[in-house]
Amino acid sequence: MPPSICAVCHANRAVILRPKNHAKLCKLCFIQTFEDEIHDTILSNKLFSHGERIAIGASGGKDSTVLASVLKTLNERHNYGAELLLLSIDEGIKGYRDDSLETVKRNAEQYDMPLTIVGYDELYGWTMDQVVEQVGKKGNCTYCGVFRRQALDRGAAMLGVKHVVTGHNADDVAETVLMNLLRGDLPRLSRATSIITSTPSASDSELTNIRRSKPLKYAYEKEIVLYAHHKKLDYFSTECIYSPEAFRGSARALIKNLERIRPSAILDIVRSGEDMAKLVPGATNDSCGGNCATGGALAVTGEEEGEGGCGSTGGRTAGGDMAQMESQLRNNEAAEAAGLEMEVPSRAPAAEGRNGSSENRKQLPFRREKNAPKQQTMGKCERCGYLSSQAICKACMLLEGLNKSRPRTSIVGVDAMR
Amino acid sequence: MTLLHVLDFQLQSQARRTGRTGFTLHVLHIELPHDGDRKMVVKLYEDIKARYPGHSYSSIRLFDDLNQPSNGTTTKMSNGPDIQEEATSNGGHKSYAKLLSSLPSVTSRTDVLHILRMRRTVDFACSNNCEGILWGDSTTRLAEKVLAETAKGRGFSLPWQIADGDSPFGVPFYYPMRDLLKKELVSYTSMITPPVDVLVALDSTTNVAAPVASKDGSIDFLMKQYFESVEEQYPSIVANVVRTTGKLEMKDFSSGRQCALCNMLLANNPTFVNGNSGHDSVTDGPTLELCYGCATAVPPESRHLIPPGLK
Ligand SMILES: [Zn+2]
Ligand SMILES: [Zn+2]
Ligand SMILES: [Zn+2]
Repeated sequence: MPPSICAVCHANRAVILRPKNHAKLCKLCFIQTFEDEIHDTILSNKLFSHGERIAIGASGGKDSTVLASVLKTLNERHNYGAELLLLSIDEGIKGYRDDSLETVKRNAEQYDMPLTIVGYDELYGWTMDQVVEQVGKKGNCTYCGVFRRQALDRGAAMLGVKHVVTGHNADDVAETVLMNLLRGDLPRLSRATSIITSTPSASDSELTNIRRSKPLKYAYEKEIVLYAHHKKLDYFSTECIYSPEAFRGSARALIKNLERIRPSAILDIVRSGEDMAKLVPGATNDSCGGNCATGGALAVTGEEEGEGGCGSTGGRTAGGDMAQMESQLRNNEAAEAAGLEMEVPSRAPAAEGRNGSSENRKQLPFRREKNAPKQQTMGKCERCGYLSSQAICKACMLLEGLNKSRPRTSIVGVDAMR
Repeated sequence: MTLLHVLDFQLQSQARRTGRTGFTLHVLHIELPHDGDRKMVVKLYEDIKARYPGHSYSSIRLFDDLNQPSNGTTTKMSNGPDIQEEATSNGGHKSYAKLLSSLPSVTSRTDVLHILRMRRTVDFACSNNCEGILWGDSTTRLAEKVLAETAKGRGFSLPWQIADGDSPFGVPFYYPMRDLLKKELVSYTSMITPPVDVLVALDSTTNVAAPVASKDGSIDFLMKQYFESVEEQYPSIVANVVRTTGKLEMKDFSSGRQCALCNMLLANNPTFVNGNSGHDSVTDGPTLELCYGCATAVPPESRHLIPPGLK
């Protein structure tokens, strides 16, 4: 078989079969195309403004390493005028995070970017290892997700940065779409598909008004790996040792199979998610999943958002456990169908609150707001000042549970840390 | 099958009680090209007719095989009011076969086949003045559809695809078995006397050990397998998927434009595909407007084969 010729330059030998569309490319054209597509995403969604200071949420994994490398390249090539900083969270997971942080430190030198590391222990008084010791391996992703979201915002506030970019890729977004369909969580599905999210600006706290965006939202995980490989990037490739829960695991397996059947499926799911986000009750017409030409779509996020969990692959949501949710749903049904032994339990449209992420209700000792993502009245947590729809934010609630067995700690206020 | 049994029973008791019935049924069977042994299929159909008399029955083939001489596409089997089915009413169903065989993957072929079957059913319902179409989908089947359509880029059309009531076709769709799991239907049919098991078409996937998804599988098939296994352990989650998706709103698109293939209503930016997408642009000439999902399924070189729209 004669060697294939690159479909772009028609000169060099093709060495890469693009996972996304099976185009045959040479190494140089692949790298160029990959970078051009990220640039296109940034431009068409107006992610950056000139002169902006931007923190890159860096874990040392392939996604955030590629993100840092590509952003540095594009910033110089297209003159974004952005000031790029690295921001790392130290969850305190031995044998995983301490090693990956070494990678981040090397990246900081390689890319000539200042690095800030914020630790769970200094913020919360607990490392993830200690949390796991306390609550066991089940459900610890909930803690990690909640703590991580706040930690990135707190780190950004410390740096005086208004914009954090994360390494979420197309696979992550597609996975989250399927997962939230399985969990029946439309508000979260809708938030996960937005390329930009922002906390409401009603409050004047340093912690609000920090934008999050995902420049790699349309990039395939496989292409990110290829890019890192061909650019010889220095990244850390171990998955988080605390494995994801059933819903996410199930969704991830589906994504892998779907990609095998039809490579475009990952982007097709992302597209479906964006379209469905517009149909979620309460969504306004201009909330176009971050995909409209004006780029004006800011999905409102709050502490409920589960994105940005642990691990080198980016988003690991505080996943619900399938069995737990199943029994919760069944209890609801049983209550409804009591006495109708031989009849089929009615599954007519349920009352509000029967759906939603029941795992939260189970684990958290406080009443949870019903699905009302946009119009939620956001206030500040009484204890730590973080944005919250409750008097006490989720992180503080989790801490309270943890601290029952230990002398009391509270989240260090932002001002105290500066 | 279960649907027919229950409705037949309802009609009979209604007739007993009141001497008349509130509705009449027209049973339509659409024969697909891969339905297997033709004789078996026809026998099954005749047996069902004999078991549940008193309704109108029609059986049509979605299209004839390309290499078979075509003399009318209708197998007329009506014992109710005579159903006239003109072979030419839909621009010739030969083009169906041509379109399907031009598609590059099993997923696309399965996807488009289902769409064509739906269009055919709607055509039939319209030309027979039906007031609505009852589909036999179970909760499990609808949940499969939710995830499969999402994976095929058709998420935008889900509210119309699983809801009771208005459809973009002008004929209302209903899913009377939407609250029943597939396994519930299976056990129900096993309890009917006299037994109906001989009347139930064997689901080709049910008894097959789940093969690993491969390039030969379609997305629809993958989701079918997936939910059959989820249903075993987590039936309420299956039901919850459908219930949740049912909460999506049918947004009123003022454009009034519809996809040339699946007929779903298009948003105002149907032709927008992110520059990073794996596909070509969705626009293809001025006359043919496709939704994202159909543009994904039908590559540009096959689009001229798309049969003209309804009516
Ligand atoms: Zn080249
Ligand atoms: Zn708090
Ligand atoms: Zn369509």
